[in-house]
Amino acid sequence: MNLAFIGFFITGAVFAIYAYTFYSLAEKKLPVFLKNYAFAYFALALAFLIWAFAALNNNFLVNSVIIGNILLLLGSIFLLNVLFNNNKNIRILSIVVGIILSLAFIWMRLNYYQPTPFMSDGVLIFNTQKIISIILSSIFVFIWLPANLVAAKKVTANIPIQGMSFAYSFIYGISTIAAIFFIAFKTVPMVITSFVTLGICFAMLIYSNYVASKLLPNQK
Amino acid sequence: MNEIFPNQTEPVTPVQTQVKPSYKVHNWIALIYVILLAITFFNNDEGVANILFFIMAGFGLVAGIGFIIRMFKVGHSVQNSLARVFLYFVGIGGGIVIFIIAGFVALIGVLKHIHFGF
Repeated sequence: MNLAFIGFFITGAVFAIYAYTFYSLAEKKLPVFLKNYAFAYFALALAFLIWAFAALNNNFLVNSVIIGNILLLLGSIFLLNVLFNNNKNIRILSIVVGIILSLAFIWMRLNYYQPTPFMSDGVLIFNTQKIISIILSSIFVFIWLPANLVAAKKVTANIPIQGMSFAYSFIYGISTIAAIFFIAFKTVPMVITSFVTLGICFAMLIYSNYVASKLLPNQK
Repeated sequence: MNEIFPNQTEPVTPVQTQVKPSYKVHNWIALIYVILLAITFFNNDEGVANILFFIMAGFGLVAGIGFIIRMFKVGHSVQNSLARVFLYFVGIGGGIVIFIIAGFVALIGVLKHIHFGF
């Protein structure tokens, strides 16, 4: 049984469901700029689904890691829109810098730090080089985590119920931490456990979208 | 007329002070956890590392249960049933995730010791 295919496929599908439910929520009840947040998770979902199919076809493994990295960077650029929504100039500057740094990262990945993923006991191990792992983790810490907290704040701004703001910030934050662990791990049991953690986090996130859709008033 | 603010005609309503929850226990747990983690990274004895791992996983368990209890308390005080069930759900899910992540960190400490011991 190919555990990697099942794991990545389920997680990718869960990401896609989360992105779709958030997109629907943003369309009806949240500020429009939060659609970028949904696009970021669509990009991440696509990366996971590509890794799922790469797990079935080992010749595609190396290319799938590069494509996954590109999608992760694309998602991060969408999140810059969320982070710097208040200031147009800073937003444009951050996106331009983000695109230049992303191109530099991909060039570095193709020429100096080529991916060396492998399959072990049916599990896909990314085997990411330390410097690449640090860069990817930093992207999660400095872009995805704050953007998640901004989204959590915006979602709960119009829900006047005690504890909701904390609950949303907690699940958005812990999901990012779970994603960092997922990238960092190199052994089979830890990769499997990190999948479980991500699964629980996204079950909470999808449920949070449902709850928000019921509690938030219509904007339009 | 208001005596303190002569131009203000509306009666002054007392400002409600919100009681903030104490994070003292959380801070102590986090501090002890980080100290144990540091010891694990610089420890040379495999037996000691394993004991530390179990202690740290125990801390993760306590923190997870603490989180569940806290969210249940918050949920219990909420009147909206949908929000209440959501807060209970976040409590259980979050508690499990905290326990797993704390265990993860402990496991990293042990694995680092085994493979790259100082």
